Amino acid sequence: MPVSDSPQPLVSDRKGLAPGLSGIWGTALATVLILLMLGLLLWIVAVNAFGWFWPVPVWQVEERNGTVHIGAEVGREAIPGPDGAEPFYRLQFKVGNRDLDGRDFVWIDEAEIRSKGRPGDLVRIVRSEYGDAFGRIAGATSSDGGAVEVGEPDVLAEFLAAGKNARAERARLETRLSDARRPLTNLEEALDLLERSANAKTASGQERVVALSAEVEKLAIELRPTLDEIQGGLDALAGDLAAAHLKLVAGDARFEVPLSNVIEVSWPNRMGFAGKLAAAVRHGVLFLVTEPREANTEGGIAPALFGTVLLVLLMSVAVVPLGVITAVYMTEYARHGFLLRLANQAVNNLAGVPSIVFGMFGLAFFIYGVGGSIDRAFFADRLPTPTFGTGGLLWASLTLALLTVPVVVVATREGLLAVPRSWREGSLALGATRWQTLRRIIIPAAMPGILTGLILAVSRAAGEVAPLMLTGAVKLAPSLPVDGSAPFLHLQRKFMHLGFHIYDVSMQSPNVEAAKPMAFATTLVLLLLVVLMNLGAIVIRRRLRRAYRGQSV
Amino acid sequence: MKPLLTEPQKDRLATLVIRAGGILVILVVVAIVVNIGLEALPLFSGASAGELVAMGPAPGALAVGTDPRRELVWQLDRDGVVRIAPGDEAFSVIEGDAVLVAADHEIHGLVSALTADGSVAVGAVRFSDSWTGDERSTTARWRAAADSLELPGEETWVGVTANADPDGAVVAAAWTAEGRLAVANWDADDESWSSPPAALDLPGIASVVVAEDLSSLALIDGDGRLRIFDLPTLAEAEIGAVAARTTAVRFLIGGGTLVAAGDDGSVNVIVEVPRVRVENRGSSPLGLAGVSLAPGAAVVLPDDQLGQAVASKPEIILTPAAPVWTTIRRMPPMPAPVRVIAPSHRRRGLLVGAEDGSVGLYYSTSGRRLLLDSWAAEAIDFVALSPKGDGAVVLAGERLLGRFIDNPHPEISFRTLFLPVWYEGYAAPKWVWQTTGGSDAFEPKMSLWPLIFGTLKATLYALLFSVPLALMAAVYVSQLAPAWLQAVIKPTVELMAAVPSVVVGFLAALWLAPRLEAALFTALVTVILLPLAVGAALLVWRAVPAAVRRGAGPGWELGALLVGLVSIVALVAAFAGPLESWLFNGDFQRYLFTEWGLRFDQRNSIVVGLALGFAVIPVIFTLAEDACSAVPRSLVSASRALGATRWQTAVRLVVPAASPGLFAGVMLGLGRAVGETMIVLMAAGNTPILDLSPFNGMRTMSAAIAVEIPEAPVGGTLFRVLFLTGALLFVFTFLITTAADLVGSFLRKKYARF
Repeated sequence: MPVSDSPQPLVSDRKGLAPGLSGIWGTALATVLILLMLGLLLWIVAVNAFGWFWPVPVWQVEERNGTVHIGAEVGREAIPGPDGAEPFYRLQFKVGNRDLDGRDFVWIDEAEIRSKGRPGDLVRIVRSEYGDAFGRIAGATSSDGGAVEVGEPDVLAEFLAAGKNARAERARLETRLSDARRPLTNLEEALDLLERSANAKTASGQERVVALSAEVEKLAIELRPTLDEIQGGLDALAGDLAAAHLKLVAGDARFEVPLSNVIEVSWPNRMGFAGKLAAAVRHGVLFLVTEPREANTEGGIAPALFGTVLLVLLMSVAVVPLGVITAVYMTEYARHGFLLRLANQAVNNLAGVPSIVFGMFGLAFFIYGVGGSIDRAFFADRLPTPTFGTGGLLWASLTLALLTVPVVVVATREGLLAVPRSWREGSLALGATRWQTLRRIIIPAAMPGILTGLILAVSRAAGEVAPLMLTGAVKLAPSLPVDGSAPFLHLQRKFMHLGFHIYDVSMQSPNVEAAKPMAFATTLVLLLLVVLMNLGAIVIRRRLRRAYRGQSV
Repeated sequence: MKPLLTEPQKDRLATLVIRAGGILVILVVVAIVVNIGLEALPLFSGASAGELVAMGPAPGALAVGTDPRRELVWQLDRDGVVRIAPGDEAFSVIEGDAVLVAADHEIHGLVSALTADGSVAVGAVRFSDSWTGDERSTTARWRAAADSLELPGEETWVGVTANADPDGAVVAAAWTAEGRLAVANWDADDESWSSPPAALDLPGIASVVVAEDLSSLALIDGDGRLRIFDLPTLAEAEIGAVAARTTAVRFLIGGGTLVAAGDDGSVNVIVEVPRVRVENRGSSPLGLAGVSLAPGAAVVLPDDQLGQAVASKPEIILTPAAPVWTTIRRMPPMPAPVRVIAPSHRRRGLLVGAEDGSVGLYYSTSGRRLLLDSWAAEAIDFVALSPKGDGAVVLAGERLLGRFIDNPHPEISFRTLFLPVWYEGYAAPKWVWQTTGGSDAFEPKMSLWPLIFGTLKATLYALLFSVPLALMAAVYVSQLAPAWLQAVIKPTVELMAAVPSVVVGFLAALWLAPRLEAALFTALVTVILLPLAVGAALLVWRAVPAAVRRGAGPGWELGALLVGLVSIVALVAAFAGPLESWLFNGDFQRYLFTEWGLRFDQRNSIVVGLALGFAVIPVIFTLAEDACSAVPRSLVSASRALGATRWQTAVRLVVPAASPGLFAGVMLGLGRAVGETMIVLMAAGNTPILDLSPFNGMRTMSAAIAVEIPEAPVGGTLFRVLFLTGALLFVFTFLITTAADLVGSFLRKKYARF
């Protein structure tokens, strides 16, 4: 580009400004804005998510009219005064105790507050029903009806520990019960399907129904002693747990929390920094390993995390061969010509197709097309209840595999192109076939590229939501896709997914305000997963580029 | 042990598999478009009819109909007996052995029959299934909707009609040849007819129909004039111009649409258009909907969302006015005057029978004539559609004729998808996307234009925000920033690309949107102030001694700007409140509304532009930065050696040379913005409106697909329309990607000399 036609002097005079300083500043401003946005996003997510894990003080607020609220402060908001007068502020408290009056939050005008403090004896109780409870412990009743000396810290701690043990025991027994019952459950399901099927009305079908019913009955009698024993233990435990309860006082309200609902009792105002840190870590771990409660507004994300991991694993199995073979075809096998141009165009276009369109393809082709055919061929006796003809793990992972093929192809091609030409020629000159060269020389050398592609594909798939909405992600899956009954991996089952969980919790929750921290925490987990995978990919690619620097390509 | 395959065999096999795999990718793209297209294709296939079946003579039959499965046909004969064929099932609709003089059949099998001695029976022919083993048998029965109505005995009644609403209320109307009309209401709670029936005298009556919602009654008087009356008042409603002498008339499902046929064979759709009286109580003239209104004057106008238009003008007073029945559509005509019309039981379709024996199938919303066929040599006396609309029976020349009809998607035509359509209850043709309603009587409105508009709007705002930022940043990072900064920023932007869109959407909807709503004014002031502040800083910098200026290292401006930016935002946040109080009475949103008529929604285009822009920036930046960096170092060095500054080199040399890459980046960003789903789904509010205002939202094609496909019945019209939307998205992104490739390679050739 010629610069001689410039009307401005090319060399800046020493006193003035270098031409284009404003341009430099302007473009720098754009860069700063982009970085700031990303930083802001990460900061918001981190602060909100960690803030949720971190134990916050429990306040006792007395209003001028004498009403007392106990809860955690979650927000402060300005209300513009009438006609430009000074705005006044109001505070938002999470007071929990949803079972009392159905509300989780209260707004209190700052001007209405008479006193505000955080006495050490205020507790926050995480419950398995009705969300958190706030208040102070006024008493407790043990399972035999006797009063517990809650004033004695040791006695109270012992009481709570006993409750915790009983809950753990209950969970263990419940697992044992369902394990012991599984053969019977499976048989009953088979019988149910047979009875509903079309050929149940034929004579041979009737015979099979009768035989199966007899088998079910026999097994039921066989299992009864075991089941009864476990059930007996469970009933006794449940009775104990329901009878024992904590008496709470919050303002004017007095209420009881049965020990069977108590997940954790904490005194946040008494915690030191170390105690808070330990509690935050415990909350974080619990968040990762427990199931969601209360329409996904509380509890953990274990099934969503599990579903996401399983989904991307299955997707990887499908996408790596497809992507690598395509890339190998395009770099090693295709002659320059129409077909290569077409394949190139196809990969480019595949990368540009909106993800929701992949979802529609999954719905039309995999679910209604292939799935419907499988149902008609192999699960005809279950129709019209679809087995594979509805959204599920398999179809979702295949859909995502198609979606991520371009990512793998592009990265693998980069890896393949980085393998020096001399290596190929050397191998072929030594008499190796093309396949041997590919398998022994080229693919191993291009492995970092393939790996990069896989990581990027997995990271893309972990965050993709739109196609999953059409192919089987659900708000709450009744059972995990992997369990103890054959064939152990149930590809047709619906599943939960981190990204869909965020969408569901933040957009479709019955109580968005209460669910928001949950959405932030899930977002943090998803972001960490994706960011770590991408950092990994970046590092591997750097290594790849460094490894072949200086080689003749 | 001998290996299964020899090495050359393995090699050949591998070659085969790899070649097949390469071609598979091409096939996948083809499969996607073919599959989605195939789901959408039946929308345009039109209707087809099976073979015409003569079902025997039917002398004296007054009304006919079928069961929902089209297995049984019933006919009401003059002796008051309903006969079911095949089979010998029969039951009487009246007590005693009276003779019927007239009968009518409305939707849902509702039959009204008039005896010679002036008594009216209203009821429905219902079918129920019973099972013995695997054998299903369907039986029919008469279910009276009301007691029999005794009309005043001194008159000779010649015609009858009745309709019933879902709650069980019935309106029956009978008329005499001289033009006396009697209308009676059946109260379902009291189980009694209103007595005596309301009466009206007209110059002769040819035909009467009652709407399903029992709010209006239409009739053709002795002069062939169409007249409409409100029920139960029997006040005559206003009718706009009607083309010709009317020969047949019928209300469609829901009762809001009337179809009237003229004696020239025309078939017209007439709906009730809401109107409103507009009064200007202000002191200045007002232009509204093309009408100029002087102060103090008032005018009655069609209510075309006028309430919204004048909501910010308190001096304009709107009062409801009587609606007017207006011909909104002339459908393709029949070859001869129409004698009878039968409405569809579940949507806005209708079957008409003409004097020359031809039968036509129409659809009101799309205005399509789906079928036109000659069924008989004689005039058609009676037509009826089967309950599911998949068959029809006809009486012509004392014979009963039947036919299966396949008519899956009559409501769709090019016009309904892309052009404004005048829907029931609207004052003008509109582009509307509103696919599901509370009842069967809801008229689905599936215009794709609001979705396309929403997609383009979201894309526009996203690109307005992202293209300048991304391109400027790309130029800065590749040409002006020090190397270490480049090494940091590139991977950072890659990370930005990896942020899942659901995360961006979540933060936009639940973090950004409420904050922007609270601090809209602050945000706008910041945007205006920022470039000014940079300019001011430059002036200050000019004053700084050159020695100090040279002392600053490369890339220092980034840090300075960061600090400056934060302090400006803090400064604005501190002073925006008082400024807003001073300028706009403390409420900028209200100012926008009262002064400019701009409504502010929390989830609006600014939020979408920022969020979608965030997702698009890395796409554009990465490609643009690569392109800029790929400009040969020698060219840049030559430019600098000739005395050009870094900036001059960047703008005059690097940007033109890298323009193919910059263009490709913008195109791919465009493609990404068009197809992005989660961000718009969560942050755009999802209202399908046609408004470019930055302060309200939109519904995009992708969001409509994501929200509505899980609810749409498979194979239904909505399902297929959504697949059509998906196909359009695919084609759109395909064109964008291809255009980026083509223009990219063209520009690359053009600048190859560098």
